[in-house]
Amino acid sequence: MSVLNVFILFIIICVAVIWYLAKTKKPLLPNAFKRYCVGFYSIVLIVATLLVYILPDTGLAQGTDNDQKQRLAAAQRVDYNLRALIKQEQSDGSNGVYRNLSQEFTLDAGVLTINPDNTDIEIWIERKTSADGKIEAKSYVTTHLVEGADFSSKIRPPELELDGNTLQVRSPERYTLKYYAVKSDLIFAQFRDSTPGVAFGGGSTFFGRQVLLLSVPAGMEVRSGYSNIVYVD
Amino acid sequence: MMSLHEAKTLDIARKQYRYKLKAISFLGLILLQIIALVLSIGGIGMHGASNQGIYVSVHNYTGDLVSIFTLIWIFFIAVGHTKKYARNIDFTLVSNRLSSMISDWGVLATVAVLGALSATLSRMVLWVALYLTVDHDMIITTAFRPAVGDLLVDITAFTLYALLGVAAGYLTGILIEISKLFAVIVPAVFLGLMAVQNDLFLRLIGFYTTESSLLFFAGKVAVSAALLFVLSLQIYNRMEVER
Repeated sequence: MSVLNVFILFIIICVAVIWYLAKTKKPLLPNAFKRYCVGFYSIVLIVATLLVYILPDTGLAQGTDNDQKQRLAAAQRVDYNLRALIKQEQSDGSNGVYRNLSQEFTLDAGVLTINPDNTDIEIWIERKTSADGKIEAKSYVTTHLVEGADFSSKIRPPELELDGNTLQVRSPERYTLKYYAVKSDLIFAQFRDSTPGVAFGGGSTFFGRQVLLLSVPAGMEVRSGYSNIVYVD
Repeated sequence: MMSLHEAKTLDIARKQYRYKLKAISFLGLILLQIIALVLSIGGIGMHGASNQGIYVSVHNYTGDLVSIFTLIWIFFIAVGHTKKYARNIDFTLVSNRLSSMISDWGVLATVAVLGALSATLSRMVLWVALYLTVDHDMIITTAFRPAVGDLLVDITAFTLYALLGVAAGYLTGILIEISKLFAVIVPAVFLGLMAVQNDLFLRLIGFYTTESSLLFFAGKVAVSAALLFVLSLQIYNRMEVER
């Protein structure tokens, strides 16, 4: 609901209440009922506050108001050094690179044709030292950030299928990630080291890179009309 | 003899304070805060970005709407406090102008503190509702669980804004008592200045909103509220003499 709608609704309610109170001398509700309401509301507020401090927050995505730029810079550094980081084989995200797919295909033919369904997928091909007839496919994702929170683990890998000597690479269906950001109020952000005024929009989203690394046997010929292929050492 | 007189005045003021506080219905505040919470359920703003078949949307949750509604309620309580029917409460007890003034300011300060306390804590209802209804890893938190110290800063900051609202409301109420035309003029001037982004007006707003030190902010609010109350009192006294 837009802020304007909220404001209009609020004005309508105010006018209706004032009009009613002006028209009638009788109190709207009995005093005892009012007291119960105030008491009940106070209890709700206290219980909610206690719950916020009791409930575990381990599963929550940790965003940040302060060092979004630092996180972004770190994510960009990962993008630039992706090849070196992949070689480190720490694909649990600890170095900013996540491996979200690992598959192996056996192909006896000396030729592999790669057929991606769109040009978004970045494919790296490296040649193994041995001709073992096995194609290793691994999909990597670099840091993706939304409001400073890392959502790389939610990036879906492409779907792979070996049909004869053709490797079909399909992008996942278009999907939506719906996040809920709990932020400081404007009044409170004023006295903290945080960024106020982003509640009505703004915020930042950084999409990292997604790479499909194919390790092909030595001597295997790779054919593809696809433009987004990089041959790596 | 002097001290006896002071004690009596304070005693009367305390009685008036209790009487006047009972006359205020906090049900209005509760209703407004519930309305604000309901309107905040879907988030009070969102943004989204798309890339390579992924769409990421972020719905923002803050207690800003509750804060705004609470400040409006506090402002109108202060306005209502200057009305004739509110002042007539003084006649139900033996009183003088000093005791009446002390009890008035005491009641309004209490309203500001209670408004601040409830507005600050009511956000927690929203957070808990979100926590219980949404996948936890889809909640991005920067302010889910403020440190207790921060919570106290939040309540203090809100109370200070509320006191400013009370002082402004009190002056507005006094002006409306002089002439009903002010009921139209004051909001018209306020909205007009906001609409045209008047430089002086924006600087005045910025004088409070850009202050990041709570201590300096408290000083600014104390001086401003005192000035507004003194001005209100001067106008009120003149008004009484003219009548």
